Amino acid sequence: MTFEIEINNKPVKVKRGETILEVLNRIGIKVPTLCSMKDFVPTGMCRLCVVELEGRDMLIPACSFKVEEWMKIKTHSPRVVLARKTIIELLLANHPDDCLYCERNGNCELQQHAEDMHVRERRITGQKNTTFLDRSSIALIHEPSKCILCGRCIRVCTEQMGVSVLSFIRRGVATSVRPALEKPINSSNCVFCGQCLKVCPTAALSDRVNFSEMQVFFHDPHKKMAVTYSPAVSAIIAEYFGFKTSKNVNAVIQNILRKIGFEIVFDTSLATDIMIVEMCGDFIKRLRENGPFPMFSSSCPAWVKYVEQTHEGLIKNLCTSKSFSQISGVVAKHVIARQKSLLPEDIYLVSILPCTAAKFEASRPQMTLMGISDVDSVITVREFIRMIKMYGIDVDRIVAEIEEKEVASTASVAGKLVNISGGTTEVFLKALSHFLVGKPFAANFSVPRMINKDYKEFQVEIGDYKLGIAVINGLSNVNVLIQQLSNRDDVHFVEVMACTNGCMGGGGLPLSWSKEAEKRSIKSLLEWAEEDTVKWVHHNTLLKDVYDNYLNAPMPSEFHERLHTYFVKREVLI
Amino acid sequence: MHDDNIDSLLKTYPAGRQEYLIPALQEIQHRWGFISEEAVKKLAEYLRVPSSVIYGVATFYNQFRFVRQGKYHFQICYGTACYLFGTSTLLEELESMLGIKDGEISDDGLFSLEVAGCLGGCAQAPVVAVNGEFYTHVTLHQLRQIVENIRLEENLR
Repeated sequence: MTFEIEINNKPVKVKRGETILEVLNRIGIKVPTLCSMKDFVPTGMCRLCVVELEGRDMLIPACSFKVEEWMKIKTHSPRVVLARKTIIELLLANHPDDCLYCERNGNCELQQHAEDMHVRERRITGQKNTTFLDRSSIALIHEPSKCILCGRCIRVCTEQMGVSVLSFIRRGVATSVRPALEKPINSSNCVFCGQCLKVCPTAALSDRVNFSEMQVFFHDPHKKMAVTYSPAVSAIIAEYFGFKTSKNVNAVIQNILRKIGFEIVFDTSLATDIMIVEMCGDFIKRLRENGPFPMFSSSCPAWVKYVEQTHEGLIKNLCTSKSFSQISGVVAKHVIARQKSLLPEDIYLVSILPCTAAKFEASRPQMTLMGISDVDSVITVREFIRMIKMYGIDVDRIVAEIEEKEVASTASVAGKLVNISGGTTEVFLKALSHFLVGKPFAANFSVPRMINKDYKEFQVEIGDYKLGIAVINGLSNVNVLIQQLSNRDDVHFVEVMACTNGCMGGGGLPLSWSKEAEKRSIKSLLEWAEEDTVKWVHHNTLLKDVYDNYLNAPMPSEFHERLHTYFVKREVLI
Repeated sequence: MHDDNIDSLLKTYPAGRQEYLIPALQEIQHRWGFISEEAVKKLAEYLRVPSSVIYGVATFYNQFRFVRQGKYHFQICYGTACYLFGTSTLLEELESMLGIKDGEISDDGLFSLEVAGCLGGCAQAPVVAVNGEFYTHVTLHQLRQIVENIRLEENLR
């Protein structure tokens, strides 16, 4: 049902049920907000979106009021503008004057609002926040002094991820956002998905930036700098810089990385193929030994930590194969190194991913064997973009031709698909069918791509096996299934991606990443996957060579140790 | 911590009902004088409330503590009346004498300090309580004597 209300003396058609803020956004009136988030229930905490409503003495927050017939609204009256400016000035009063050195300088919502409202003097001065800086975690940095108490992180963590690490503690002027018992982040139940820092308007939550420690090794004569990047990174970079789709983005990314100074450049696709083969191996072993089922995918490090701390009993259900990022480390240090007559310790491997949890994953003790880590440093797409700017690389003028191709770059389409929820299941099932019965799938198999769907369950038949498959897109959707598991035995494989839409919605994306940008980058990744000629993991001609000549030989027992890992129970407060 | 006791205490509440959070916290606090990490963990599991939320709720109120009490538990009133009568000076002195801050316990386990919202003795401000025993119209001199007396007594033992 539509009706008319009056906004700034002009009639506007509105639908019943819309909030004032939604109407304003729709008709192109910009109202500042700090706490509002798309697809979340409004809380009205920041009060920045206040508007004047005729007949009411108080200003009302546009986000929390639905439109009604009688409404006459003023969005930028002098009273409203003054109120908003005062709110910003009050927020700045105890905010550390740290902008020039801040991680979010130039990319901060508070700074932007202050600029938009032309705050040019310190009219209100207060005692500056000096809460302690939590640098305990390898992935996230929590700086509560920069927090403006908008509550976005708490809501994302609780409602979207279902993890509930953070909460408001104390009250009044002493209020802050902290984990339970004010534990440092690294010993809290945080899974490092990074969704909180994507919604944080300031730098109260940010990721640990690894590239200064990494830069040191560019000058180390004993180290060869190697880099691996997931195809998701290519899609995100292409979207971010607005590359034309005709350009060979993969070649552009490789050339950028070589210009930055990396000598060995390859993407994670070969490692993904190896991961899928190892997953099949684990699954077939479970089929032979009757379980434990279901086998959960373990390529998402945030999900793995969630299992370790919340569902101790399911640790044995996690696939023991390492994630593709970590296997890239094995590829770099045991395959590429041998090809180039290098020792594993001669290579410093950087992995670029749209993921913050991978930083944590790379630091797990299981990922270092005899002093050699699979991946030495994980950097997010955000850090990569910063590097591109720092090294003065003009992305528009880079030639899209690969000058030097690593041998490890022959791979199937799996490398692209595993970055999207449902993709791992797709390539896994195809490969499983090959390994189990030696022939492709029955034609009625539907591709379980999961964009914007939360949960999907279906049955497949491979030979004599009837397998129940579930795909879970977003960590908060997993508990429904886990509760059912105690009295169900018809589920055999479950793919879980902690972030919605998988890696393409990961915590390492550019901060201003819109839903539309996410959609477009997923679309281009899927298009590239369509163009790919090697559709099946086992059609990758390189795989056999890699297994025969590098991974299996000379010591097959060592090989299993390299490609597989184990999981441990974590004692944290849930 | 007495695990069995916490478990049996929890069993007097219906499981999975978060509206019992505050009564349960109060009972734990009353029984053991503070809320331990173990208690938070068990409470979270039993009532199915995230421990971050439990901590958030508990710190909202002045009545809950997360550190065990010392042998001598000092409560210093920070209500409006006491504040106007200079309780902040008393607090400063007490902090430096005991070497601890609000919510802390001294290394020897002798003293603990709590800044209370209002102890309800506004007419006798400023008010300080030691193990529930109230001292009214407290001056700096008196406060020093209270602490010295306790130390003296403890040294004699």
